[in-house]
Amino acid sequence: MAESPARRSGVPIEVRGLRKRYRSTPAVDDLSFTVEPGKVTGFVGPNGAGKSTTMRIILGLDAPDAGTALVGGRPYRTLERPLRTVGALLDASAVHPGRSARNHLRWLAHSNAIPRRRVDEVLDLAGLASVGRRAVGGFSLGMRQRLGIAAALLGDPAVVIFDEPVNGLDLEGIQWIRGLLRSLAGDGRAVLVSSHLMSELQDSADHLLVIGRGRLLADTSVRDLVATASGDRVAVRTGMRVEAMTTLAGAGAPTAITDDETVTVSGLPVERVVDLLTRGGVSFTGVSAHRATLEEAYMELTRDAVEFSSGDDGRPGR
Amino acid sequence: MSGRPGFGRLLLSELTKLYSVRRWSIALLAAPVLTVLAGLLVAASSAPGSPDTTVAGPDGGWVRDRFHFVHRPLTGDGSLTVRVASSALELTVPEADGGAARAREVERTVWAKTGLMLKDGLRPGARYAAVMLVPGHGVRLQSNFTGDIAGPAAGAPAWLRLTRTGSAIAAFQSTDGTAWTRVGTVTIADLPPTVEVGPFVASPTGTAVVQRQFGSLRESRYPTSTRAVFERPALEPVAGPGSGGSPDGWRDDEVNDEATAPDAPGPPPNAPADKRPQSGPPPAAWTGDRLTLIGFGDIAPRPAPQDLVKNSLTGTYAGLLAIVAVAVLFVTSEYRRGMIRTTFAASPGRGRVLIAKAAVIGATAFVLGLVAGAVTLLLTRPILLRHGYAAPVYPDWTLTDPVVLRAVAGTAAVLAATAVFALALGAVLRRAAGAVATVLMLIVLPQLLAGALPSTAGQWLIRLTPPAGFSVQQTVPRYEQAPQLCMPENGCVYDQPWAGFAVIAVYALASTAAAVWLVRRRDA
Amino acid sequence: MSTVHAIHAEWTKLRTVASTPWLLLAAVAVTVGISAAATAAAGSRACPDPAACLDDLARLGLTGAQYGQALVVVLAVLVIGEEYGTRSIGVSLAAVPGRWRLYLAKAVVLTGVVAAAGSLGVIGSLLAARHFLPGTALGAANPGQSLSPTAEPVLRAAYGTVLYLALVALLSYGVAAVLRDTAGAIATMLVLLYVAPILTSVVTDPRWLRRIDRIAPMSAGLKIQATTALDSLTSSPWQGLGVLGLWAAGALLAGLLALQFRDA
Repeated sequence: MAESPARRSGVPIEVRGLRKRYRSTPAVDDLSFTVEPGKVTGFVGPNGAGKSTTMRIILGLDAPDAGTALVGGRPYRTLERPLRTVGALLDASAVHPGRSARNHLRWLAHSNAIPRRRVDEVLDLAGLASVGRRAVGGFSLGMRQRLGIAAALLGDPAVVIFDEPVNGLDLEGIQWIRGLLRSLAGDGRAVLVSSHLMSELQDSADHLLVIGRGRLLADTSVRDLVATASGDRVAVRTGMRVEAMTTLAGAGAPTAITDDETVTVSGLPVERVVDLLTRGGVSFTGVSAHRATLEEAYMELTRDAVEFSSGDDGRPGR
Repeated sequence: MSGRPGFGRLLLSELTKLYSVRRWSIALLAAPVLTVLAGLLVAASSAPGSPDTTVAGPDGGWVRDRFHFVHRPLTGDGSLTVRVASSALELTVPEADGGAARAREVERTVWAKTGLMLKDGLRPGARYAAVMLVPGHGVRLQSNFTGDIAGPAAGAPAWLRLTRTGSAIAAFQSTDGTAWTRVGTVTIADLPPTVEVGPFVASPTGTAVVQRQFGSLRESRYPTSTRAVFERPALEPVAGPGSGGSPDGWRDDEVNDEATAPDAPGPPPNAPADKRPQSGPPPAAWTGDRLTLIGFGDIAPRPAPQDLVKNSLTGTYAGLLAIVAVAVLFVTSEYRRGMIRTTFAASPGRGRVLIAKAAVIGATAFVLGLVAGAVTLLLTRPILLRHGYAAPVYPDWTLTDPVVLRAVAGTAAVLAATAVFALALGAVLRRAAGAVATVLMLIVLPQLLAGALPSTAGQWLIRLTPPAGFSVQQTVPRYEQAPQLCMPENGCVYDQPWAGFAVIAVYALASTAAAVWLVRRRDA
Repeated sequence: MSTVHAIHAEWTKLRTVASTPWLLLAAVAVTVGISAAATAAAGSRACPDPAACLDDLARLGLTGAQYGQALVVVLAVLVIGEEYGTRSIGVSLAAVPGRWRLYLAKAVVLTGVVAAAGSLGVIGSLLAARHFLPGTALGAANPGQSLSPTAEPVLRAAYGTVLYLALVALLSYGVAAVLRDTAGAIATMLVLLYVAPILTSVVTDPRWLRRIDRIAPMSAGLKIQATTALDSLTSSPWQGLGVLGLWAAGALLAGLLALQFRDA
């Protein structure tokens, strides 16, 4: 950012006991978390898990049935010039198609008494300087996404909230977003960014909030999430499957026969498996270790929480 | 294009789209509700007024029956012949209203009648058959008020003959008294053995629009009189003295429905001249076998002053607007959300998609219109009866009367055509606000503007815009022999009810064709 | 202070979509055009019977407002309906989270542009009336009626018409805020304004005619245009405009409540 302040005094997002139902469907169910300044917090969960609803509640667009969502200790709706505290991109297509990108940013700037030059700065930043005078209706999804990000950064906010920012972006755009997220956090801003794909976040997020069916499933760092996943598995190729199982089960590890020649054991490191089998006199033709990826850890966490196998990440119940 | 889904599938998918949006369903259901509520409001706030007469014809319909009649009884079969030597209409239009120039225009609305009458007594509304000369309309054989058979295009002088054979009355016309042409034969049921026959003259009131204030209109009426000269009236068989050309045995009466209306309140004494009943005509004058007769009044069916079915269905406007909004959104919302790409990807025949949409919204509107119309009429009839709308001025009706069925089905058809028009316009403009506003203004504004424009311009404005469709709601019959001014203010757009529907149908077809052409050409 | 910024933002928003200038231009053109057509047609009338030509010349000259208001309705509905249509209401509320403030800002800007366009329409209409009516038979039949907008009661009819258009705009705006749908709100407003006159054309009971005339927003509000025969009105000009004011206030309040308490 052109005029990024040096380390800012941090403004956190604090969500406590949030509940929201749309008709009879709970969208958010007793959600509590904190988004710390200076970090990129990834907000992941399957489609319909309640990510967008949570973000809408933080921004005061939807009212929670219970609980609070505070930005810097205050409800969003009490902020005098909110764009200077919080910049958000919720729905990139929610722009009047007949207005030019520049005019869209200009009215936003006026509403929060933001100096006019910021409009050109953020247009530049988002790589839209050359199309600023074109009507948004003709923009591709990626360009709208960039416009939404430019709008979010207009007020040089201490808190940034992006809902699925990489949707529709090309590879270059995705890399741009990743760099942007890191640099925003590096400035000391609190960055909350959602995705339904863990892979989009694993390289850029410092912290992860995993949500499924409106409930918080994990509030953890990326490294811990991988570690707490059900663990590494070791596959043993052997003709003596029953003996192998008995031996390994004796060490307290869950085992399973996965095919004619393979026994899978989880929770034990490879070295220990080899040691146990050798000592137990079980012959084997091969041992292969399988490290759980973040993606698998996430899939396991959210296995029961997948509401829609496919479809739009719309707000549930609408 | 292989594996193209059947059109039935397409219809089904569009139907699902329409019914699965909750607020559209609500709006669609609001359409009949609004229609019924507005109909009830109209019924509850309607008053029949006090008609000047309540004379009913043989079939129970409201009629005018006033003429000057020189007559004598005829028992059994027989015939009456007369020569009409001349017939002259007298009509004065005040200079203020346009004078002589306007008089010619008014004359065209006057069916002055000079001829022979055979009537079941002198009671107004009684059965009759009559052969007559009507200036501008030739020889006519009219009977029981609504019957009208056109004969040769002759005028005075001419010979006329009326022959009774049982219940059959035949009429003849001749230019010389020897070679006769049959005008026609009518059967008058329940005719007693003895009837009154003789020459008659009737001369109705002419009408014209003379004044149009901004937003209001005055229909001016001009009483006329007709002076006719008859020669050599001859009755066969001869009954009593002087049945040939002499005054003996002929009686001179004016049949006058206005005079005999039972305790009719009568217009106030200070009523305008055209509302006051004309006093009777001078008595018939005989000069030898020449009879000079001056007549006022008319023998004709009278339309009900208010078209109760059409008025009850006025709420269709409110319902129509709801349907228009949904029809427009049904297509524009797809453009707005980019869903049209999904739709077109799912069924690449874009024109077919649009036609499927049109079929679905049209059918929906039609069904809603049927329900709305039928329910409205079922509910308003008892209210109107309670408010004193009664026969003969307001004939009772049921839903199964052909004209009422036509009004209900026609209303539904107008709703369907308008919905299709709205949908097509939505596809052309791709903007909900613009399309809804355009369609609604086309429906509503002509009504308001018509009164503001000069008479003919206003009439054509309504005739050529969608509101013309509502002329299918007309149920008061119109008769050629009882001309009425057809003005938007009278609720009259076209004399033919379905003609108006044709207008809106053209709008629907043309806009659909344009929309199909455009969606094929344009990028989605 | 923030309200001023919100108003500034709404003004920018309104003037940066192409539909706004077109709608305003069309509103002025329709108002002036139809008023001029009406006065020109009336002015060409022969009046052999002066009694039949008694008319309210100022009201006649302002006829176009009845039609120009349709475009005002569309503009007013778009001001908030398009926010829901494009879902940009979320962006607007994120920028101005005080909902009454956003609502007020939009109302202020809307009222301003409608009043400006309405004034142009009224001035143009009265100029047309002054061009077409004096010296005609109709003018002679209605002596003593001035068309000068500087004196009562024509002055009242003139600025009353501007107020009328502004109130129609606010009524439409409130309805759109409740319905959150452009097409639905336009349809509702046009029914509300124009169906009453169609109904009264078939209603025959004079008590009901009076009732509808006093309550229907258009017929009540347009009483402000009356300059003669005031005692023949079913309610006084200001009472009539007041009725429209109540309609607008009710709709505005309902819209505010919907905005305040429903999720965006």
